[in-house]
Amino acid sequence: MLFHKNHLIHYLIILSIIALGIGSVILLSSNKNLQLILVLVVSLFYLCYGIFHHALEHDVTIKIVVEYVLVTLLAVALFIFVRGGF
Amino acid sequence: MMVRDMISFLRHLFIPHDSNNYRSKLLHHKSLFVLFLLVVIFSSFTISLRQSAPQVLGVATNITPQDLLLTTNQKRTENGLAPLALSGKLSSAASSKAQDMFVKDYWAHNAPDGTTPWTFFQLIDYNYIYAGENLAKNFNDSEGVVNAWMASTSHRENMLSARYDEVGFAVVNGKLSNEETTLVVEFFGKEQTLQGQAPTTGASVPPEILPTPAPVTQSLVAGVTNTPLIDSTALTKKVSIFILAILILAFILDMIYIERQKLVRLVGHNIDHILFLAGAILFIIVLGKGVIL
Repeated sequence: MLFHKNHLIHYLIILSIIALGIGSVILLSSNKNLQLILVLVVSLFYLCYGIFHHALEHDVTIKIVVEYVLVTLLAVALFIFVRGGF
Repeated sequence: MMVRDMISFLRHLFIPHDSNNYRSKLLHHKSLFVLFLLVVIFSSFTISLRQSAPQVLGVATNITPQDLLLTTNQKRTENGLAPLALSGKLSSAASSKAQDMFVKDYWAHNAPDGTTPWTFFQLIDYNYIYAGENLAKNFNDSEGVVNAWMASTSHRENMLSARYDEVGFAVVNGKLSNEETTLVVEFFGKEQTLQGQAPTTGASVPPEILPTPAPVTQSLVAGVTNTPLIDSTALTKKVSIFILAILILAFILDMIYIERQKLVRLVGHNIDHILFLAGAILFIIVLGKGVIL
C-alpha cells in the first residue's frame, strides 16, 4: 500500500511539473526562445525525476537510464521539429 | 496471408510476447533511437525545404484588412452596434506602428523609448476624441485574430465600443526577436469634429516630442496571404502528435499486458513515460498559437 502511495506522489509531482510547464509555455507564447528553454528544463527535470524514481526503488540500471534519455530526446526532437528549428 | 502478416507485425510492435522479449518492439532502445534519428532527419529536411521552397512547404497565412473589418463588423452587428468604417488614415497609422515594432524590435503597446500608440495617431494628424489599439501576432487567419480579441475582456471592450466609428488595420510580416512574425495592428478612433473637445484614450498621454515617422511600405488594403502547397505548421504538428500518440498507445498496451501476466521486467515506469509524452502532445498543441496584446 505504501509502495503505491509513494508511486502516486511521484506521478503527482511529474504531473504538476508538466502542468506548470504547459501553463508557462502558454504565458510565454510571445517569446519562443523562452518557450524552448522551458521545454528543455521540463524535459531535463523529467530525465532526473525518472532516474531518481528508480534510484529510490533501488533498481536504477544503465538500461533504464538509456530508456529515459531516449524518450526525453524523442520528445525534445519533436518539439524542435514543430518549432521549425532552434 | 497478408492480413495475418500485418496482424503479426503489429502484435510484434505493440504487444509484449516471446518474439519481442516481452517488451513491445516499438519501445526497445533500438526502435526509440531509430525513431529519434528519423525525426532529426525529417526535421532537417523540412527546415531546409521551408527555406529553399516556401511555396511548397511554408506557413499558411491568410489575414487581410478586408476580412478583419468584415469579421469585426459582424461581431459589432451581432451585439447591436453600428459597423465601423475603414479609415485610410488609421490604417496608415497602424502600419507605422507595425513598422515601429519591427524597427525597434518590441512587442508592446508602448515602445521601449516611450512612444505610445497615440503618437501614431498624431503623426497622421488624426485628432481623435477616442482612440484604441488591439495587437495580435502569429495568427494564421483573420477569424482567429478577431476571435482571440473577442475572448479577451479588454480587447473585446475595444471591439464592441460605441465610442468608435472608424477602424484601421495593418497586417505586416517581418522579424521580431529574430523570428518571422506576422503582426496585426488594429487602431480604433473617432475623429474630433468640434473645437475644444478633449481626447480620450484611457491610457497614456501622447508625448510632446514626436518621433520621425517610420517608412510605410505596406499597402493600406494589403494583408498577408501565403498559401503554400503544404502547410508546415499543420504537417509538423500532425506528424509529431501521431508519433507521440503511437508511443503512448504502445506504452499503455505494454503496461496492461505486463500487469495482466504479472511479469517482472527491469524497465522504466510506463506511467512516467505516458504522462511525459501526453504532456509533450499538449506542449505541441499550445506551441505556435497566436498571441494578442
